[in-house]
Amino acid sequence: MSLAALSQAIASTPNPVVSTDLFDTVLLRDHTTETQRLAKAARRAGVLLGVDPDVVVKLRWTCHDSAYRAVAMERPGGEATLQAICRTMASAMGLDDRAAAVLLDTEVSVDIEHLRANRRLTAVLRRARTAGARVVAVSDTYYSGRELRRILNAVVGDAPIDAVYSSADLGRTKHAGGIFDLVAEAEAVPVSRILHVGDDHPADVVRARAASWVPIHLPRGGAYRAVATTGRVLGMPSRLRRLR
Amino acid sequence: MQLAYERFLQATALPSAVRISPLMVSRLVAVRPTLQRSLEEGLPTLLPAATAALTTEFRRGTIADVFRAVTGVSPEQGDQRWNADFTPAGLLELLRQPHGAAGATALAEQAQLFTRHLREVLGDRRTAVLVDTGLFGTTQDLLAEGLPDLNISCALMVRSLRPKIAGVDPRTFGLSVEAFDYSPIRARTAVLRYWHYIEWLFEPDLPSVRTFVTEDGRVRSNLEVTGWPDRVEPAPESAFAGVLHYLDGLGPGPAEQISADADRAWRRYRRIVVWPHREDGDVLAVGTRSHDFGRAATWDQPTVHSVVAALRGNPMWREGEVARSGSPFRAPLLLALEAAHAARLARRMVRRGRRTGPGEPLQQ
Repeated sequence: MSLAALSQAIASTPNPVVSTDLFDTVLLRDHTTETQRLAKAARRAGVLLGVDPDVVVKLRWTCHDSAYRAVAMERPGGEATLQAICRTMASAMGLDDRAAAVLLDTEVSVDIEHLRANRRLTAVLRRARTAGARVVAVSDTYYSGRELRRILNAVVGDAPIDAVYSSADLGRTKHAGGIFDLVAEAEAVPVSRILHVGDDHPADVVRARAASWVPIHLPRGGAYRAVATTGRVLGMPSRLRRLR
Repeated sequence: MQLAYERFLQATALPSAVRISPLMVSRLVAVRPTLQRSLEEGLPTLLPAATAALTTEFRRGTIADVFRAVTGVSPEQGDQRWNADFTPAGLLELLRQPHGAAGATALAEQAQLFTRHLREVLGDRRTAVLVDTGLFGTTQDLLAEGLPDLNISCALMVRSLRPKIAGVDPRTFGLSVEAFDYSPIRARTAVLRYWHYIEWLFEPDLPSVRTFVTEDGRVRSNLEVTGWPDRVEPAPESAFAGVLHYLDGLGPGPAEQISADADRAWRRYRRIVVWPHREDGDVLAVGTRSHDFGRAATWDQPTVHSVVAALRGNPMWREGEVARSGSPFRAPLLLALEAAHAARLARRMVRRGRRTGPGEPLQQ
C-alpha cells in the first residue's frame, strides 16, 4: 500500500474518520534501538537525580519487564504505563514523585531526539482534515495521550490530529485488538467509515480488519529496515548485558 | 516465600496493594478439579493441561498408579485394564466404571473441598496470582483449566520454558529468569542446573498438600498440622535464616544496594553450582527431595561419593556429586559437563529456530 492508496481510500469513503498509528507511521524513528534509547534516558536521569546511572539503566529494564509481566498476569491484552514505571523506579530508589517526573520527562525528551515527522503522511492527513474528515491517532504505547501530544508538538509541530487515543490510557491495545471497539465507540461512527493506516501488519492491518475497520498498510521502507537491522546488530552487546 | 516477601516489605517500607494469603495447593490437588470437569462434562478424554501433567509425571506408570495417586484409593483387583499403561482416556473410562466408583467419589469430594478452600481464600475476588516455588507453572495450568471462571496467573522465581502445549494458555512468569536451558553466558540460568536447592531453600519442613477434610465447619489440609505457622520460621543459622537476615537489613530505597548485591550473588551462585569445590558440594546439599504428585518416589543424595555414581542416572546436582567425590579429575569433568550443556543449548536453539522459522520470535 502507499500514500496514494490512502488518499484514494479517503476520497472514496463518505464522511470518513482517518485513524493513524503514530510510531513509525507519523513519527519516524531513527536507527537506534529501544534498548539504546532507554539506556540513554536512564543515564541522563541518573545524573540529574544524583544516582549511579548504571543502576538507573538496570532499574529501568527491571521495571519495564516487571510492568509488562504484571499486566500480562492481571489483565492480558492490557498495557503498562510509563507513569507507573517511573513512579516504581523512584520508589525503589527511595525518591519521591518529583524524581518520577524527572525520569518521565527525560525519557520523553530522549525519544523526541530520535524521531522525525513523516511530512508526506501529515500532508495527506492535513488535506483530509481540510476536506472535512476527522483525523485521530491510535497508538500502542506506554505513553499517555498527554505525553503523545507533547511528542507530536515537538516533532511534527501543529499535527493535523483531532484526538489521540493511547493504549496506556484506555487499557486496551491494537495488538490484542481490544482498543478498536473503544475508539469506534468514542468516535460514535460506523466502523466501516474508519480508515486506519499503520506500519505494523499484525496490529494495524490484521487486528483493524478483524474489528471491521478499513486498514491501509504503510510499512517503513527497505532502507530504514536495513539501517534498523544494522542498529539491532550493533546493539547486541547491550541486549546481552540486559539478559544476564 | 510469603515470609520473605513480607519481611522485605516491612524492611523497605515499600507499599503493596496486593492482598496476600496462604493457599494450600500442590500439583496433585490442582489436577483434581480438571479431572472432575472432564467427568462431569462427559468428555472422552482429559483436558490438555491434565493430560500433559499426568503423562509427564507417570510416563512409565499404569492406570492403577495414576488412579491411586489422584484419588488416594487403591483400585479393586481383578480387571487387567488397571495394569495397562496410563492413557488419559483409559483413566477416565475406569473412573466411570462401577469398580472405579470409590475412587471417583473420593476424587469428587477432594476436588470440591479444594475448590471450596480456594474460594474461601479469594473471597469475592476472581483474579489471583499464584506464587510458587515450582519451575514450569504446571499448577497454574491445571487450576486455570479446572476452574475456568477464575482469572489465575502465576509468578515463579525461575521459569523453565518448555514447548507449547496445544490448548493450554500458559500465564506463568519467571521473575528472575525465564529460559529454556542453562546458558553459559547468563549467570542466572545456573539455577536450572540445580533447581532443587532453591526449592529446598524456600519450602518449609511441612508435608506436601494431598488431602482436605472439613473440621469445625472449615476446610483443612493435611499440611495444616498443629503449629504449622511456627514451622515456616527458619531454624537459626540455616540458609533461609540468612535470606531473612539480608532482607531485614534493607533500608528504604534499596534499589542501588540490591542491584549490586544481586549481580554479585548470581555470579557467585553460578560459580558454586557450575564449578563447585568439595566444600561447596557439602554446603549446598539438600538431602532428600520428593517427586511428589501423590507418589512416594524421592531424589536422594547418594551416600557413597564416586565419580561413576555422579555421572550415572539423573542426580539432583551432578556437578556437586562430582565435587563431593573428591576425584582428582574434578576440573576436567566439570569442564566436560559445561561443554555438554553448551552443546545441548546450541542444538536446542537450532532445533527451535527450525520449528519457528526465520524472523519469528521463539515466544512472545
